Amino acid sequence: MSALLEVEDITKTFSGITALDNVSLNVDSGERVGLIGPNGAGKTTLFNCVLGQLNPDEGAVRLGGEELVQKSVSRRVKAGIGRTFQRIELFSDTSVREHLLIAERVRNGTGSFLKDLTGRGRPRKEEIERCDYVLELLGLRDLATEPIEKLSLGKGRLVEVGRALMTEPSLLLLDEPSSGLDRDETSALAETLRSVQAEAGFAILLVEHDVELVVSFTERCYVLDFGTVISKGSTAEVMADPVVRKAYLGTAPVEESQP
Amino acid sequence: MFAAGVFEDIFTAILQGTPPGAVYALIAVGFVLTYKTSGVFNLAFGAQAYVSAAMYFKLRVEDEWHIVPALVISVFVLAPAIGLILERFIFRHLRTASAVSKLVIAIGLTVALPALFDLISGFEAVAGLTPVGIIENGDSVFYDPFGLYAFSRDELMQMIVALGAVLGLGLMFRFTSLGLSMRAVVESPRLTELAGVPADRVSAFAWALSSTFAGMAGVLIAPQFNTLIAPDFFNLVVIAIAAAAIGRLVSLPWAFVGGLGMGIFIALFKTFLPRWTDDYAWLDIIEDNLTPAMPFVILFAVLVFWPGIRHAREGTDPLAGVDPPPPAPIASERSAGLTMATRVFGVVFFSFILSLMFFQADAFWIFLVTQAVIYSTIYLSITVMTGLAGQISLCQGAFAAIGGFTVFQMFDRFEMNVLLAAVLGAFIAAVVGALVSLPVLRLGGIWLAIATLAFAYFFDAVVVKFSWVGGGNTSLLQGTRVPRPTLGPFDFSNDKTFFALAVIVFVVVSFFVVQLREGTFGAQLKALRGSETAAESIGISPAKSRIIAFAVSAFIAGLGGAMLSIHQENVNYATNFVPLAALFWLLLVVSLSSRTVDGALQAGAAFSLFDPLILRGELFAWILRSPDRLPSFFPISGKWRFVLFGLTSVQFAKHPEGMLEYGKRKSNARIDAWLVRRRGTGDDDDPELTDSKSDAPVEETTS
Amino acid sequence: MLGRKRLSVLGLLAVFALVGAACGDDDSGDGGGDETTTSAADSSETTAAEGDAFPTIEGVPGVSDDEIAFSVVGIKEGNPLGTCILDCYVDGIQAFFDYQNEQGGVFGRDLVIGEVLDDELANNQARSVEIIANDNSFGVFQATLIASGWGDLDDAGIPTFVWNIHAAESAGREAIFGNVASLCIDCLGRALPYEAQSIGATKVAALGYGISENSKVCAQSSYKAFEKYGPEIGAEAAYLNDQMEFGLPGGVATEVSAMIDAEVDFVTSCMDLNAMKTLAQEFDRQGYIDKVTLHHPNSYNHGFVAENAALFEGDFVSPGFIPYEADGEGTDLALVLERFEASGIELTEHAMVGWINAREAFDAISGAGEEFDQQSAIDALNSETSYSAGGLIPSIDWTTQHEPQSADGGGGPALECSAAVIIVDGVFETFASPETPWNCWDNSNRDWTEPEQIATP
Repeated sequence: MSALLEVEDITKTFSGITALDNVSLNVDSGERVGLIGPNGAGKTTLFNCVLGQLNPDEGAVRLGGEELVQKSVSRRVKAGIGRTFQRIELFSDTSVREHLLIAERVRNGTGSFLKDLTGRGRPRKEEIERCDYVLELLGLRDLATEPIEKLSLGKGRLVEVGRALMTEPSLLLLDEPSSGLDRDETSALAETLRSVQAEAGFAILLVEHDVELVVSFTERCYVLDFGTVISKGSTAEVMADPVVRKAYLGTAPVEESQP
Repeated sequence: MFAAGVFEDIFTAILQGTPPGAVYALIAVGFVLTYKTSGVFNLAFGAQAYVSAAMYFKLRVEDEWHIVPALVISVFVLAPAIGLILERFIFRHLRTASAVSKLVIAIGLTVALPALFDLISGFEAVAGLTPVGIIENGDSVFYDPFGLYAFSRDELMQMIVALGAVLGLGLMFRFTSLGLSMRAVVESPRLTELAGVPADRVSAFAWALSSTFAGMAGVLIAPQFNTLIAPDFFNLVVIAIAAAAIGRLVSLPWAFVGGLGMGIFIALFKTFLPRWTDDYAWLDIIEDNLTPAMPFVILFAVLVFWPGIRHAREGTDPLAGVDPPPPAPIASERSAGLTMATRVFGVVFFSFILSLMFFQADAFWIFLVTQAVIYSTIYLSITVMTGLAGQISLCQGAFAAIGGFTVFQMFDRFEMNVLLAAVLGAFIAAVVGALVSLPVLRLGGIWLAIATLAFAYFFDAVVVKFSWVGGGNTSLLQGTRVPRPTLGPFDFSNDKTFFALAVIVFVVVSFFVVQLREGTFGAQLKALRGSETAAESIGISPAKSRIIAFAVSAFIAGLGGAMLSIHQENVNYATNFVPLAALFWLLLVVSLSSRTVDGALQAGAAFSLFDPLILRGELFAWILRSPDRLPSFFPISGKWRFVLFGLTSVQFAKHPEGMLEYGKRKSNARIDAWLVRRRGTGDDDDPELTDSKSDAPVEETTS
Repeated sequence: MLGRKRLSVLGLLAVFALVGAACGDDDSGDGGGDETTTSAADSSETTAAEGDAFPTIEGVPGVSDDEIAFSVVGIKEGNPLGTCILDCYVDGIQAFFDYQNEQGGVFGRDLVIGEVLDDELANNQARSVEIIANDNSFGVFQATLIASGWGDLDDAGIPTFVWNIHAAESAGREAIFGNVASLCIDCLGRALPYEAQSIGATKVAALGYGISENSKVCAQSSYKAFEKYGPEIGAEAAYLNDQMEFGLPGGVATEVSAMIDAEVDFVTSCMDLNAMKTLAQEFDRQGYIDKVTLHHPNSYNHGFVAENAALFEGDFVSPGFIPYEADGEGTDLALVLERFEASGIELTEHAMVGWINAREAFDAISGAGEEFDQQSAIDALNSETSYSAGGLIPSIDWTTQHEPQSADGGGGPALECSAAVIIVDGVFETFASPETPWNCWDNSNRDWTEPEQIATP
């Protein structure tokens, strides 16, 4: 059986600096996979190559067998990739529900330009209901009409997740969801993610500093350092790998994430 | 044609291209200097240069001062003082603002500074009084190093200063801690503050330095011109941007090389192209059409093709994310009662104006108010482009002109009904808008703005000349005359009927703009404005959205331009649609409100009615009940308009929703608070609206 | 609603109109000269003897029993050329009005200037509409760089007297009377070749701005004139550049080099006075200024040429009216000079144009008779077939010359006239003799001939 996401030997250089060097990685359907590594190891670059904000110099990215390299970001989103951002990216001037609505309407293609012009571009009832359903799942239902500016960072992250979910992804890329959150918020987030995933059945590729979260949340895990995969396998195995302990955990002990 | 002397000719052309090249280099270097040290894409560089040049001219030529004191006052006192004032009162507070909003402010200063200087100093250009350089007999003593082409003392001075500046500033940036601090403050003011660098003092010094350089450049360049007027300096800056862009705005040596290279390239082009056209007739087309527009063609080409620009996303402060986003339009926040009250007031007010128009106003006021309504329609194109899509376009004048010229051509050639032609013109403008947006889509932000400026100048220098656009011989004999239409029983040569038509067009366009804003498209644009990366991640295509935004905006501008031409019964390109006109439109709209239909309406009113009502004192006279009691300082100089709107746009960075929205927000908050108190309910409903800064930032990023 | 800043640059476009019109007006002369020039003072039928009363006129704007009021619209603030236009123009109008009022005005009424409005370059249409709405001006004077309001005034039937650098805006407008008539774009003049011949020129260049249709066509037709008449005068059309950049921001080094390579010794230009200076400076730098003579379309500015005496030595300038330097026998020139001196008015182009326009207004009213109104005044002037405003301008046939002229269609004006001046030591001297400052050619035969020298064409 071929994997859901196949990243094959991708290389990416920025003006002479190799950010990714022959990196390969797989994620199966419904799986939770971690991707860890020190700052500058190339994790976010990899995400960008997967979603298409960057194109790798060499190598292939496939989702469900479909070749994605050179395809536009919006095409890849349609193919089933969603993502969140390490530095939270929300739309200003917009309520929580609107965030989801925008994504929902882009996905199902309602509200063409002409419909907008003739006043038929307003959200339909079932679209709003679907948004509210996802908000419910994420525990954001009460905040639906709040302006985004008033949310806490933790809730903001959930809105990002919700927005990504509206595109009905088969693979969700989570970029450091715990950054800026305290311990309780982090575990609440993990809990929510797990239950939503159980409901919707997508796979998760998680980039994370917080090793504890990776250990508790992911089944498998890859370790990147200086643009190369230095270890992979089940999360427990990887964590025990002396190479990993030396290269990564040695410089960034687990304790750092504790307050 | 390729005689033995060809190498000599090449060399001569290189020498001949050097003086203009040195001028471009001087400006490009100054431009880069400002960008490096302040992070501002400083279109106002030309305005700063003009002020010092005019001051020097006044002292040296009019008051006959000696060179040294005149130079000291104009360049080493006035220029840094202006820099310090700008830094202290404007840019210090905007270090983390977006590059686009700083660009808008720079445009505002471009308009405001020279007008302010002229008003304060009473400076006026006088024919025959020519600017002089900073060296005796600068324009009449020549040196001919190679026996091929002589340089004047003024030109040698320009070259020496440009070269010296590249070397001196380069050393400063590389080897002094001050130079490093200046760069750091631009890269991330917050981080530098954390690191203990006194950001305020560093940036004050940076502004004083770059402003002094601008002043120096202005004084050195002035002898190029025979009369000193500010727009000449602005035009040079637009040209020099191409040179600065070659160095991605950060490399002083590249800016120098780019400027010099551009001068030399144009000289070679002008020397050899006419010879080649003798052999290759097809080159004629290029020679005829592109020669006067070469600088803008180069600018556009650099923006589109230069690899540096392609990837030069605007530098973002890693900590910029902590800045609060702009507040939402007020209508969505105020209480229902107040909304209703506002609507009722609006309806009453506009009905009052309309009835005044139909029953009271004379031809003059009908003319002005009709013009205001039509300009409001054009300004809705800025509402779409800037308010909804968050992009700055500086070629709206060209789009509007396309509408006007289409009406003229269709009537002149086919006697087409001008209303039909207006719609056709709008569609043509939309297509052109989409095409213009294609090559510059991935630029975004300031580069997109500059590319549209290049297009506006290109349109002005090349496209208008075509007989199938500007009219050629027809326009030479008859001008670009356009008739008023008739439609069924309506004869629009009646000014009141035409006024009604203008109102209807405005209302219809406003309706569609509101529909777009509230619909999916508006939501997508809002998402893109909020975060392009995030919008992309949910499948919104920024390119497609922007093409549509350009097309819609150009359509509206084209329709408005056509209406304006029909109203004035002439395209009047030089009065209505030139590039600098569009610059002023943008300032008006963003300083009032670029997000709302009201904003466009008020900008239109300001454009058309500010002159009679305020400057010529009609409003004041009405209040005093007699024009005879009007104080003698009326009529006020029209230059105050530029000072006022130029300086108001400075608020754009803090209040991108515009002064109008900001004012409404504040007063609504007060009224709502008052209503709440009257009703005696708790404070819970009290909207926190008074200050956008007080809204807590969403996040504290730590990475 | 725009003012100096935003318009200046493109407002400059308007300057092209000026340049082009100046080029064209070599051809604006008309035949005849049969009507003897009358000084305004001679129109004695318009001034009542003591005690006589003229009929009261009701319902004509600006006309009361004692006064006829006019408005003036012109450019002052925001004039990118920095030349004195509105103020000098008003001086000239006022000088004529003062003089005429001393003679008893017209039909018992004084001619007065009511409102003077600065159109700030861009507001010409708004100012014009304002005058129409105010309904208190009998006529309007206009000296502006962008003439967007002329059509409105014409439509409203208001007699409008203008500094006519805007052929396109005045074309076909029966109520618009210029100091010169509509231009003839394809008439190939003999005035320029004659100038070239007089200095023994052999190679000729023609320059114009690419961005202005006016200036461009002016350069092309100048060039063609030399192609046509060159063989007769021993000069050759050697260099044409109708693509100059406006304001010459990048200098003119390469163009001047090309002209020197082509051994050009006479340059006819359709560019403004500031550009002429840049051009002359570049010839100077390349060591060629003594070998070349320039023809300026509109540098008839005494201060300007005095400043740049060395650069412009020997150059030609062609004002559209009789130069102040002429004797002006049989014309009003002596009167103009006397009145200007008495009022301390500088001898500028626009003061003269103001006087000429004011004279036109007076002649229109006096021609209409004592029960005049706006339309009858327009009709009266339009019936003149040989109008010369007191001999100050080449005669205009107002029955035909509102329409643009064409060499093909009907042949253009009957006489081509030019009253060029030469710059000598920074002052102007007439090119022809001061007694007969006009060089004129009969247009019925367009072959090369020596000009006829005429005092009052």
